[in-house]
Amino acid sequence: MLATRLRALMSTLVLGATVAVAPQAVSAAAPVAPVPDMGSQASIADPATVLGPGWRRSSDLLVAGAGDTNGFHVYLAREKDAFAWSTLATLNDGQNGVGSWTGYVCLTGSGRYAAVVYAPVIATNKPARMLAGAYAAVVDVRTGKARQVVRGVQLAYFNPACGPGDRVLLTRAIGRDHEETDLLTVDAAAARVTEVRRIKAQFTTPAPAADGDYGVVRGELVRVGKGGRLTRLATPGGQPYAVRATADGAVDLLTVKPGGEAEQSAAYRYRAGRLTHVGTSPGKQLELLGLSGGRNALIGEIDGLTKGSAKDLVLLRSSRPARAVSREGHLVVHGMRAERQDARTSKRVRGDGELRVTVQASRAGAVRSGLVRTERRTAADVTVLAGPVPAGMAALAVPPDPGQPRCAIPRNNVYYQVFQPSANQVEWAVDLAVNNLLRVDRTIPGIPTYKPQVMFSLPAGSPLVPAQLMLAILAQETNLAQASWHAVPGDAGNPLVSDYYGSRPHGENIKIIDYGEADCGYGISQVTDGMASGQTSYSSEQQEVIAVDYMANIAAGLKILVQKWQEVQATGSQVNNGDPRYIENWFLAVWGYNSGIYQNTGGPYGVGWFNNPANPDYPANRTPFLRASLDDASHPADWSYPEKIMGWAETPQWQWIPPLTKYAEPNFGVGSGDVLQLPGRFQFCGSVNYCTPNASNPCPSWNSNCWWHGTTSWGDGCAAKCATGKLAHSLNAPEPPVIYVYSPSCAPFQADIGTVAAVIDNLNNESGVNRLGCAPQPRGGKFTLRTGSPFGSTAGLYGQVDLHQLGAGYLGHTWFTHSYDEADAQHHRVLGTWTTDLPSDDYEIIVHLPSHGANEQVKYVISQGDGGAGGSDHQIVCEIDQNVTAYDDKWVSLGWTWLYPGAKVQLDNIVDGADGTVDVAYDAIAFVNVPGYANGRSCGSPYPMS
Amino acid sequence: MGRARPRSVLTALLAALLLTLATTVVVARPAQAAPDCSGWDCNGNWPGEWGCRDDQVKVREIDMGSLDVDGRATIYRSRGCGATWGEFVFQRDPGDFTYLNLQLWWQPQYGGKGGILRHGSGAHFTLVAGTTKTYRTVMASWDYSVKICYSDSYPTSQDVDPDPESTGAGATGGCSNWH
Repeated sequence: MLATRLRALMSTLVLGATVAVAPQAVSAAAPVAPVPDMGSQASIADPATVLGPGWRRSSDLLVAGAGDTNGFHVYLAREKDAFAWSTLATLNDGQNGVGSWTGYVCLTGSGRYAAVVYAPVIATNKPARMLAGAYAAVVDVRTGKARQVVRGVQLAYFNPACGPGDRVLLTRAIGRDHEETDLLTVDAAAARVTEVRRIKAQFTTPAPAADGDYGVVRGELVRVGKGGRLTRLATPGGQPYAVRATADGAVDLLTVKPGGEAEQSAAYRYRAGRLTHVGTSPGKQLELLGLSGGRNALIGEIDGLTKGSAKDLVLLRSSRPARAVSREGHLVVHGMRAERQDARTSKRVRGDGELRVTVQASRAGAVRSGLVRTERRTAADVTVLAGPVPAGMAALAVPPDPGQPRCAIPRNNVYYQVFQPSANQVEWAVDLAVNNLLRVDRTIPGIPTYKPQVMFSLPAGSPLVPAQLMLAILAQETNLAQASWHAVPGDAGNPLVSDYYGSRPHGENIKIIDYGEADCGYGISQVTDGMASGQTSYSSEQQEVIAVDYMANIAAGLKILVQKWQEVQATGSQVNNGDPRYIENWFLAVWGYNSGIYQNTGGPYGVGWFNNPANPDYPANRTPFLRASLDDASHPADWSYPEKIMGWAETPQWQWIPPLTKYAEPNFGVGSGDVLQLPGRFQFCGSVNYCTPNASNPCPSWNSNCWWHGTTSWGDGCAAKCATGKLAHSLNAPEPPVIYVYSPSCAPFQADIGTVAAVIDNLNNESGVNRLGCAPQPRGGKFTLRTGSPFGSTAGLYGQVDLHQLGAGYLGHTWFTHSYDEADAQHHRVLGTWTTDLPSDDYEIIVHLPSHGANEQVKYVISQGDGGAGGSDHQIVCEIDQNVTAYDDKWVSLGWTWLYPGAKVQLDNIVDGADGTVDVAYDAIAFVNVPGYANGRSCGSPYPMS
Repeated sequence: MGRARPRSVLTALLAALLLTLATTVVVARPAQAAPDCSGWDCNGNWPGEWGCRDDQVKVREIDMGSLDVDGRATIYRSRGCGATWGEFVFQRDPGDFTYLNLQLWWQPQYGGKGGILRHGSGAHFTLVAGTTKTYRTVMASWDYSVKICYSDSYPTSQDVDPDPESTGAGATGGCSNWH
C-alpha cells in the first residue's frame, strides 16, 4: 500500500538548495484517481466547468498555510485566477537550518489579515515548546507584509482563533499539565497584543465574537470576562473540538460524541442563551471553519445536519477532512504537503520548494491535485520582534563575551566531523542494537577502538525492543540524522546539537549567545542528560562518541528507552499483556520518554497529563497519525507524542533520496488489518486520575491529579493482533555501505595547461582530516577564516554561529555560511583568505565550487601582492555565481594574472541586500603557472575537469 | 638625567618591569642551518633561537606613525618553521621618553576571538629613551591569523585592541591588517 504510493512519487524528487535532510519531508498524497492535470500553480485547469460560469468575476479567495525547511509559508489563491496559488509570506523567525516548519492559519473576519501560529517541527518533541514556545504573526493579505506579534504561544490546532471581526485570540498554556491558560487578544490591524487574561483552568478552542470571547473549559462552553473570569453557558455533551462565532451573535460548536467503536461528530449552535443540536454526522469527519460576512461553515460529512433558517451557517460537503476553505466556500483544501523534486530536472535556485495541494470545488465536488512552486519571500517583507536584549548590550560596540560553551562537544572543530549515515545504515544499526548485537569494532580518530553496545551496555533483564519502535523514535526526534541537517547522507558535518548556543529562550535570535540555556541534545536519538561540560554520567570518551558516531548514539539512546520501560514498570503500570515484543505495549514508556515518569512518593504518580490522548489540547476527532493521510506529518501538533511514535512505527518515514522509505514496516498482527492496535482516547482515564471516560470533562483537575498509573487493556490485549518488530538486515551482516547523495570529490586538482604551482584547500595542516576517505595532499599555502566584525573581537565568536563545516567539496571538507548585508556584519561576517607562498610569475587562478552549499553570486578579490614591501597591492575583483555548480563539483577560473610573493585571494560573505538565506562556500583554490596568456580563459570561465 | 624626580622613580619601576618581561634583545646563538620547530610547535619560541630567521620573509610592514613615533612594525614569517612573529624598529632622540605597548595579536585559524600572544612575550611594554631600538616578539604558528599593533596605553590583564578596524590610527595606537 505504501509502496505503491511512493512509486507514484518516484518521478518527482527534489534536492533542497539548503541541503537539509528535511525533517518529515513528505511524499505525494495518493491522489483521488483519476485526477486531471491542474494548471500551473495548482490552478483549476477547467474552471468554467469546475468552478462555474461566474468564476472570472468572483471575489472569492483562499488563504492557507504549510511549512517546509525554509519556513512556514502562507499562500493565497483567488478564484478569478482559477485559484492559482502564490506565496504570500514566509515565516521562520529569521532562522534557517532548524528543519521543517509547521503551523496554523486563520483569516480574520474582514478577510484582510491572516493570523499565523508557527514553530519548527522539532518543537513538537519538547512539551515546554508545545505549551508555550510557538510564534505568532499577522500577514496583510493585500501586500504580503508580515509582522510578528508575539513569541511564546501554544502550538495547538485551535491557535490562532479568528472570528467575525479582526480580533484574534491566542493561548499560552501555563504549567506542565496546562493548569492555567493565558488568553491573548490580538488586534490584527495593529499587529499587537492588546490584552492578556489569565484563566485559572485548561482553556481550549477560543473563539472571538462581537459580544465577547468564548471557549471551552471542562467540556463546557464558556464566555471569558474581565480578568479571566468564566461564565458557564452550556454543556453540549461529548468532547468539544471546535468553537466559532458568527457576526449575527451565534456560537457554533463541534463535539465528538462517544459511540464505542464509531465516534460521531455532533454540531451545536448556541444563541441567545439556548443550545440547539444542529445534527450529528455519520462519522467524525466534520470541521467548523469561517466564511466571509461573519458566517460559519460546517464542512465534511454533512448528512444528518440541518441548518434550518440560519443564514449565517453554510453546509459544505467534502469527501476528505477539510484543512481550509475559501472565503465564499467555493474551494475546500483537503491536503497540503511540501514535496521535493530532482534538482537535475528542475531549475531550482535559492531553496524554492514545491507544495502538493489537493482541493475540492464545492460546486460539483470535483477533486484536483497539483503542485505549487513556493517562492520564499524575502525577509524584508517580514518584521520580526526584537528579542529581549541583555542589559547593556545595545550600548556596546562589540557583543558581550559569551563565556564557555555548555555543550560538551564543540561545533566547527575539524577533529569532530560527524559522518551522516544513510537510512539503510541506521536501520541496520537498530536491528542489531535491539538484539544486543551492535558490537562491531568502531574506530573514531582519537578514540581507542570500542564496541557500541559494550560502551553502552543494556542492563541484564532488559526488555526486547521492537526495531520499528526505536526507528519511530529516531524518525520523530531527528529524521534519522546524526550530523547537522546541513549534511546529507554520505556527507560529514558538525554534530547535530539541539540549541548549542542557547538562543532559543531568546526567540532563537542568532545574534544572542546564552550558553547557560543551551539544550545539548546530541545526535540521532538526541541524548541530552550528561552531555553538558562537567556532567559526569558519561565519560568524556562516551560524550565524544555519542556526538560523533551514529552507532554509539543509537546504543546510548536504546539504553535510555529501556530505562523508561523499567521506570514505568516501577510505577506498577502496564498495558495489555505487558509483553515488550509488541510495539503497542510501549505506549506508556514512550509517553514517559517524552514528558517524564513520576515515581510513587506518596502523592500522584505515573505519566503526566500532557501526553494523555484524552487531553483536549489535541482535536477529539483526529484519526491515527499518518493512517489516513501522509499529510498529517505537516501538522504534528495535533497528536500527542506516543501517538506520533505509533504512527511512525505503523507508517515508516519517507524521504526524497534513496531509500525512499527509510525503514521496513513492522510485522502486523494476525487479523490486525495491517495497522497497529491503538488505545482509545479515554484509555488512560479512570478513577486513578479523577478522570471520567467519555465525559465532556475528562480530567477536571489539570494538575498532578491527572497523572495516570495502573493497568489497562485494549483490543485483544495483544493476544494476536498487535505488531512486532521486523528486521530488514541479517544479524550477521556488516555495516552496509552508505547510499550517497553526492559522490565524494577526492581527486587532486590537475591543470589542463601549465604547471600546478599550489592548491590551497580550506584546511591547513589537516587536509587528511575528513570523513570521506580522501587522501591528504601537500599544503599549498595558508587558509584562514575571520568571523564577525571587527575581526578578533568577541564579535568573532558570534560569527561562528552561522558558519558550518561540511564534509563535501574538494578533498571532503568545505566551510559554508550565508550571505548577509553590511548591516549584519558585526555578527555574521565571514572572510576567507587564501594566502599564497609563490614566486613572482604569471598564474591562472581556479576556484573549486562544491556541489552543494554554494549558491550566492560572490566577489573573489585577488590581491596581487607586493612582497611585503609596503607598496601598492593591486586588487582584481572577479564575480562568480557559485550557483553554477548545478549539484556537481566544479572548477571555475578566476582568470590569469601576474602575482608577487604574498599574493592572496579573499571571499567575503557580505553582499548588498543579502538576508542570510543564500549559501556561500569556501573550498579550494588552485594556482597554475601559465607563462603567457595561453588559454584564453577569464573570470568565470568554466575549467575542464581532468 | 636632568629630569624631575618622580620620573626617575617611574623609570626604575619600568626598568624593573622590563626586566621581569622576557629580554627584548635577541640572545646571541650560533645561526642554525635548519629550523628547529614547525608550526604550532613554534608557539612561544624566539625566532632567532630556533633557526627561523634564516629564511625570514616580510609579510607586512607598517609605519608607526599615529603615535608620532619614528619607527616601523613588521610581520615576518619563516617558511621553514611555518611560523610568524613581529618586529618593531624605532628611534627616539636622546632624552625623549615614550611609553610603548608593542603587541603581536593572533586569532584561531577558522575565526573566533583573538588575543595578544602572551606566551613568553608577545607583547612588550617599554619605556623608550633615545637611539634605535629593535624589539622582536616570540613566534606563533603561521596557521593563525596575526596582526601587529603598537599603542601608548598601559598593559592590562584584558587584551585591548588599540585599532580594531585596522585603520592605522585607532583609539590608542595603530595595527596592521590581519594576515
